[in-house]
Amino acid sequence: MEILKLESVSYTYRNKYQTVHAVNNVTTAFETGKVYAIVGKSGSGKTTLLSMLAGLDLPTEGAVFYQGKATSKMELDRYRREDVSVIYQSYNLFPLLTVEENVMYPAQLLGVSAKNARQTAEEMLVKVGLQKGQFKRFPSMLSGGEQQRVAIARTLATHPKIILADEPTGNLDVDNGDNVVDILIGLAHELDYCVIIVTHDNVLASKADVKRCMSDGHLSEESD
Amino acid sequence: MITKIALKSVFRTPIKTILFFVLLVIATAFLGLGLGLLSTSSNMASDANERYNTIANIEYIGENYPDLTRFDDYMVEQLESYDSTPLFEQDEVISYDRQMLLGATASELVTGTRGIQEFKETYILKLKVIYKTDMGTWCMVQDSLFSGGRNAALGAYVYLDLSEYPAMSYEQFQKGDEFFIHGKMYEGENRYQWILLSACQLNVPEDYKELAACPIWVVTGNDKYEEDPNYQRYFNMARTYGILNNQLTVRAINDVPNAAEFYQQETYIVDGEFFKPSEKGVCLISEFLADRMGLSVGDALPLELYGSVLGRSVSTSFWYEDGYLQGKDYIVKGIFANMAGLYTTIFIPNEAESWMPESCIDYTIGQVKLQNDGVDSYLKSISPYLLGNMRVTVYDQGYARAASAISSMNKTAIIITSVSSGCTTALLLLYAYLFVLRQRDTSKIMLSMGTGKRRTLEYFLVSSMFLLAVAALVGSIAGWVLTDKLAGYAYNMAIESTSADIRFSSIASNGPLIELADAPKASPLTMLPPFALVIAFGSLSSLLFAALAMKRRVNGKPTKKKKTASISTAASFSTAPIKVDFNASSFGSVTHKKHGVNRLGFFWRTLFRNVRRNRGKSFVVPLITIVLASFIGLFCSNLESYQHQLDTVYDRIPVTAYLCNYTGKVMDRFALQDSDLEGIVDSEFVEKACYSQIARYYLFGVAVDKDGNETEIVEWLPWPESSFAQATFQETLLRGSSVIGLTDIDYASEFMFEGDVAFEFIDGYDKSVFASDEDVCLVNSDMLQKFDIELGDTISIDAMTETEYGLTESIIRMKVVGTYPSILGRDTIYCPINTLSSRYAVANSEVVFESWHILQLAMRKLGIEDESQLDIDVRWEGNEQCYYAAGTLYMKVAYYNKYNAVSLVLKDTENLEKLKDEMEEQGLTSTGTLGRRRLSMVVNETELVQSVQDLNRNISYMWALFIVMYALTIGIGFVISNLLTKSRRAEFAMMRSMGAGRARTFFMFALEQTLEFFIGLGAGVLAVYLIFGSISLLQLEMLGIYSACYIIGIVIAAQVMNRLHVLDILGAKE
Repeated sequence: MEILKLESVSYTYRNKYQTVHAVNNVTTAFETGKVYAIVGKSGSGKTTLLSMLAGLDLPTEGAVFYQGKATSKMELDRYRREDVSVIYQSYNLFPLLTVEENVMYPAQLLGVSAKNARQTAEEMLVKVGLQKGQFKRFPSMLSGGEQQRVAIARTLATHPKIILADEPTGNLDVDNGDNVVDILIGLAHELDYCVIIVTHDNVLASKADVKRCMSDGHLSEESD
Repeated sequence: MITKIALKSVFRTPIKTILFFVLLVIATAFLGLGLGLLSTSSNMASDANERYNTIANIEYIGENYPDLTRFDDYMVEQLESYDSTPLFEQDEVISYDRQMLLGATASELVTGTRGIQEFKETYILKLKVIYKTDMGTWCMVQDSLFSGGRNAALGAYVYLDLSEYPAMSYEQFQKGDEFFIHGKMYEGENRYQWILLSACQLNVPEDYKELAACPIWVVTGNDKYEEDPNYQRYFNMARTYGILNNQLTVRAINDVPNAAEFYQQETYIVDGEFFKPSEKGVCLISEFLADRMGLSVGDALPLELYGSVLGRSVSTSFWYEDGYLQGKDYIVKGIFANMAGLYTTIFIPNEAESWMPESCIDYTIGQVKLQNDGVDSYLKSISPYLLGNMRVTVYDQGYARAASAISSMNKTAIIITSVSSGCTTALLLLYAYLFVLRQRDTSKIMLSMGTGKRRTLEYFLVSSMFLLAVAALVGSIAGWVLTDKLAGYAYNMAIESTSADIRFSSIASNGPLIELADAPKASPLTMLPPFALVIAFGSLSSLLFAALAMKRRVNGKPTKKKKTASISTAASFSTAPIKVDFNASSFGSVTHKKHGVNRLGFFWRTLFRNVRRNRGKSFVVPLITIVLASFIGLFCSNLESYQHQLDTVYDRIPVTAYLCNYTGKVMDRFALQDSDLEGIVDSEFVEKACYSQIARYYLFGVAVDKDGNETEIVEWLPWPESSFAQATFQETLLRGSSVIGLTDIDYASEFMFEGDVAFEFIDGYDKSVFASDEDVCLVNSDMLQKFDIELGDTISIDAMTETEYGLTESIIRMKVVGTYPSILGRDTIYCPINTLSSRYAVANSEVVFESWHILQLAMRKLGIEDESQLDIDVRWEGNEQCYYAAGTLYMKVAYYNKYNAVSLVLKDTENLEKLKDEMEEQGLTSTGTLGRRRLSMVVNETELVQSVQDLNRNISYMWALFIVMYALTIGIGFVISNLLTKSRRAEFAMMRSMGAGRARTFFMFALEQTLEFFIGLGAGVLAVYLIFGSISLLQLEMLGIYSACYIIGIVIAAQVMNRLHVLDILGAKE
């Protein structure tokens, strides 16, 4: 089922030196139950595209539609709370919250009680392979892979429909990276999530259901 | 939930939390202390304003002050036309009271020796000649018209002595003759004797003078003498003598508690209470009167009241029927303690009834209650309305001293508040930065997860405000406790610093000082302002930083795409994989140089390169340092200035002193001899003693101008023939104008408190002439016109002085060399003291020993028994033998320097306490205290004490500020160094990971900051030099300490940096 659609989406910004057209007239769609890989070199506009998909920014031209509704007409905070989750390369866990609290956070943001949120968090953490003894630890006490799994568990806590991952394996070793990818693929195929992974890793991209290439702000179906 | 997460973020960074908690508590506590002290000092100022009363007593210091029975003619003339209204209608006046001076008698009250001196034992007697012998004529007292209770005189034998009245002869008095006399009677050996008093001595009013000029009225053969008007006059005189001998002084005044004697605590109520102004028919009497008349509180005192009309004094009013006001009973409301001058004084309310005169001649013009802080402006406002002889005595009970202490405390509070406000502001900004802005990554995560701006803001505010609120609360409580403990301490310190040894001091010359109550307890409400301020500003800065934290974009600001072609250079930033050729030759060879020199050179090169390339950050430290160094330079300059002023204050501010009576108001009616002044004028603290002598003078004869031309100015008055008339004439002259001999004109009592007086001298003369032997003088400008003399003329005066040997006079010729502005309105002539003191030593001058009796006194003094041993020229003048002697003889036996006033110019004024100790040993007292010598001294040290206290206070503030500044400098050095190097932690970690030791990295960072500091310091020193034109040693010292403090901060920051774990910074999470 089509869940996300981009129509002539462009994103242009100015920095200190010049005007940059990060995304140029992208038209595409994403469906649930599939893993999408968007590959491209550094600076091709992948992260910018992801930020628009995540509701962190609005396109300067065109529109992003979620379930037929333009994000520009939506309450983006609610969209980010309920419908989409992002996994980052540098995990972005709250350093002063424990592992369990990090995973509880988005659920509690939705108004779930602490008790229920904790229960859900524990389930998710177990799912992603963490031990119970690690639940009360702070992120700085875990390895990179464990932190990324916590980040994944956090995305699952609110059962979003879309999971976006920005270089999720960039800071991980091969084994951990494979683990993370497997989890993401499992989420898409088994739980009918729409998983969009932004990466420059072609090996990871080859595991996706759909591979799209980003180059110079343009998105194409085929890789370079 | 957000709140819980926010609180967790606070408690899970314990070191940072505790550190800032402590800092915020301290900052808030000091802010609370400053504000609390401000509030306390403000309350104390209000309390002082209510507790102290400032009373100004305005008096006219007449010629005969403080004798209420003798107002000189000039005073009466001045006050008759004087409008005192402007004195009471100034803005600073809270209330005023015009005293009405009345007189009274109470039936059967004989005050005896407390009566008026001139009329003591003065009688109108009817005598009858009982027998005559060759030795004399004896009379018996037949009747006494004086009803003063001297009935013991009736029947007494009186020896008739006509020696003072040569116009009459003993032949006129035969046995059985009756006559009236008036004069002074005294009890001699086994007999009464009476002597004539001159009309002047009798002080009779004008219309009685003719009668008084003829003291004997023979009524023999006049059976109807009682119908003679002269008899009525005699009767009146007798009655008046009786009244005057037992008169009571009545002061009609509404605000008795603020009358000088009560206000200055010279007397006080011992029984009963003060009357209210609205009460009528009540009075306050002295213990003496209560005892004499057997009165208690509540008893009635019948009084016959007399009042003056303008032109007459109260005592004169007794002579006239229209001087009588009314008889009235007054109920005794209160009894006050005996006090010299108030034994026979009664206070009644100024009822302003129709029988009271509208005004009166009195030394007291009125008293005003002033606003405590309005004294200076009041004195300035009334200055144009004061007559020359008027003096305003202000007594503030010590308000000025208390206000000074409170002001001192207030200034301390301002400093504490200012400094702590600045520190608190900086701390709150730093706090907001660290607790809010530095969590912007967290805010990004929260926003990206849909937390929303409101909740994200809530997170920031809760995490920052919770700690702030708790710290502010604790700090406010601490501030309240500190205020409570320190307010009293600070006030007492200020009191001690402002206290001076007030013995003999002009500071307390107008009355005793009372202490302000201890500092009040600080109200708990003093906690509110610091708490509110910290919360308010903390919230504001947290909000600001939170807004900043949530505002930042990862990319730049998005813009609409433009149709025109633009460079799409995203790809230009992509990096293609770099092919690395691992061929060894491309790496070249690496030669290891010697250690030590190479590493040291590398160290310094790296250091300077870092400074150079961290352009923006490298400017921060020098910039801050320039500002602080300039600030310190300025402070040092102020401190040096104050210190210099303090070092020179004792030289810059002259301190004088003068001898006076115990009230402090009379400073020039003494007869002090050199022996009286031993131990006083020769004290090591006296730089110069200024003496004055006084004589009365009569200006006569001709004035001789510089060309020798003579002009008759005043006719020479012939000496009267009769001795009685001579006595009257003599009395008149002795109440005339004065010639005052001085060693220094600036210290004449007329000018001493006037500041710069515009003396004018002819060419070749100035004030120094008063230290010379020249016979010159100053007159007031009115006299030039009055006597038709000019500057440069030579005038002649007959200078007269009363001594124990009788009236002595001598002719003095003086050249008029200048004028002075008349302040007292009298025709006083000022001349060098040597002109007066040496007049009897003038060649060919002669002095008359006026009687054989006086000659005997002189011989006794010389130890001579035979008068032939003296070079005396005996001559008959009329019926009298006069004994003429050369002036030099007179100087030896009869004349001695008698000074009517003595002023002192003091030196070594840093040690005035020792001078005061010496003066106490000499028997002098402070004003308000009667001592054995009945002589007081006032040291005019108010200006000196005030200046010293102000300077000491300012210097203390400066030093306190320096200490605070240095403490802050350590913090500033640490914070700035820490902030500037924090972003370079990775660099530090890289150095350590590549083998640089801890010492190297420590010194690298420490010296880098130190180098930047010294660049700024150098610029700062240059700035100071350019501003002040030079650099002083103190400035260099202070800058040195400042440098040391800043470097300590740098060292601490570098040490903190050096303790970081390398892997924590560089290690990847795998």
